[in-house]
Amino acid sequence: MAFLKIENLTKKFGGLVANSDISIEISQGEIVGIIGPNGAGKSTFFATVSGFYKPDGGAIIFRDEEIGGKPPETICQLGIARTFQIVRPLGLLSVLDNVLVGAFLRNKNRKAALEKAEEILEFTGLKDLRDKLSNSLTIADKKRLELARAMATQPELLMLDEVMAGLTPKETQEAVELIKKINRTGITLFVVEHVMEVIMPISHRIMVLDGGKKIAEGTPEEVANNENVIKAYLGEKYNAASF
Amino acid sequence: MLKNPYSLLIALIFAVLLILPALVAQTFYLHILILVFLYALLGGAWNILGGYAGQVSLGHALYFGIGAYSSTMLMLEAGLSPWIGMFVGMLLSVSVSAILGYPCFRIKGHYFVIATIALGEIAFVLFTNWQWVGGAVGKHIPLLPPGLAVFQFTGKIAYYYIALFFLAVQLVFTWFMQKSYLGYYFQAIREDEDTARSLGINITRYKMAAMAFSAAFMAAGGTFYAQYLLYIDPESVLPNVLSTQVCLIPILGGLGTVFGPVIGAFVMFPLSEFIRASLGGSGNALDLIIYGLLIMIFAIAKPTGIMGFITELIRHRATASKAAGSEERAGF
Ligand SMILES: Nc1ncnc2c1ncn2[C@@H]1O[C@H](COP(=O)(O)OP(=O)(O)OP(=O)(O)O)[C@@H](O)[C@H]1O
Ligand SMILES: [Mg+2]
Repeated sequence: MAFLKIENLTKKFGGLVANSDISIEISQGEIVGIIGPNGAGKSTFFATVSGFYKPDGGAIIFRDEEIGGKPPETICQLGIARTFQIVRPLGLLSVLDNVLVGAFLRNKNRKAALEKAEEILEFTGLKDLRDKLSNSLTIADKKRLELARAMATQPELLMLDEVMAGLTPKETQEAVELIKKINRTGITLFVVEHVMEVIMPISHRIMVLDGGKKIAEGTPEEVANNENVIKAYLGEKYNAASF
Repeated sequence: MLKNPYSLLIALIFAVLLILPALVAQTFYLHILILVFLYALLGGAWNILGGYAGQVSLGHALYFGIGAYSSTMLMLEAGLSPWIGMFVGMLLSVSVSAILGYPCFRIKGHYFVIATIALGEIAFVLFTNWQWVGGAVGKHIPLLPPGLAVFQFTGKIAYYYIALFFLAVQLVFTWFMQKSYLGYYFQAIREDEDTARSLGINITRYKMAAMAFSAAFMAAGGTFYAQYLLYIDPESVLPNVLSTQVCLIPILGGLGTVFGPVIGAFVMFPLSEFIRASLGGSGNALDLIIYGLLIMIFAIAKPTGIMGFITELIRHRATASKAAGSEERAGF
């Protein structure tokens, strides 16, 4: 049984094909990176897998079950959680309460959910901000909150859409450690990131999108040495020499 | 030690309200307080859907009317106690809210509001033309030997305590709702529907739940009103000015807070009396203009209402007196 199997996934916006025939298989426990230039279709891919868009073609099979076209809440209940690239905090709720909303998915008992939420705040390093209104956070902290809130739903697969954009080098390093730590708890990860210093060292495998199509897939080394990828996205800086 | 120092204040206010009829014998003041409690109950009912779940309904008189008509008709036609009629009315308004909510909650934002206005108006026209329920003339409830079973009493004191009791039930319900996952889910839907869905929340189901609670309390208020005045007609229990008022009460007092609507009701009552006395009632729609204006002013200048001022004051004092973080949230 494949953990997640995506076959020929296609998503169109009118005439624009944002995702075209994308296929990929993921095993449990992997960290799979997704890279590609702006407008390549990375966020669209996440939105379709998480149920926010209905696919125009292809199949998304999660643990032997076709989930393509199911509503987002159902997909989250099944164990796939996502963050939003453009952050969407529950603005008038505190950081703790944001995470608590996520934690209520698996446990409707307030005390148990609170314990889970506190544990996740600790895990993600948001503990000191717990009583702050989520509206008032910096963008970097809002991104971390996106991650914490998604984690609170106790997913098997977590899809992170540029949660590390705009971080300082030190924060980036912390974020890398955090992602590895999440993965060590048994959560499979799909990670979209532009920062190569982040995506290359953490990913077991990388998928490259360009113009809605998958143009490469492989280990970070393979992808970094791929002619098409270098041409389309990486440019000279990340050619073979740097790996 | 008390977890929340303000629960002491709330308990104190409640105790004063409990012994008040013994101190204030004048019927007039009791009458005012009864209406304020009723307003607070209705504003609190609207607040569950509008304040917590963020779904603005401007047709909520519909559920009030269903409550008033259910108990009245069941008493007149079947001789049932208004208490039974009240529960039937609550069930009926929950059912109606579910039937209307299912399609309406698929419509987003402003269109939802317009749909609720239309439904409120349709109900008004329907009842005005429905002869069995008395049409435009309405129905009188016959005087019976007073007693709890028939929901009729001599004097105001019993009505005072029943209104206070209904309000207390609604406040306790909202308090526990706010602490539970329901309150969190409602607020998540209000803050961002897509985020809520991404966290596994079936937003249509929870909007319908919020509407059901809201409709049930409105209906209970409707029965109380009918038994208090012993006369109902579409003008008194289904007017759109009532829908506007129950929306304005939590906006004035503080949306999405347990006690905001109580504060709002204390402001609303003198306001509506002033309008009635000086501007000549609801006939010329001047009252609607004033209410609309107030809604706009608060929505723009002070979305957190009077309760917002109070929590800010408390926060200010708390941070001034002690730097230690308090667990105070907006929804006190
Ligand atoms: N809701 C939408 N309606 C119409 N077009 C859209 C919509 N969402 C995305 N697109 C288009 O689809 C294409 C893919 O967008 P997408 O957001 O998936 O790219 P991305 O790879 O995430 O880019 P970035 O790195 O900038 O986040 C773009 O051309 C974009 O303009
Ligand atoms: Mg994107």
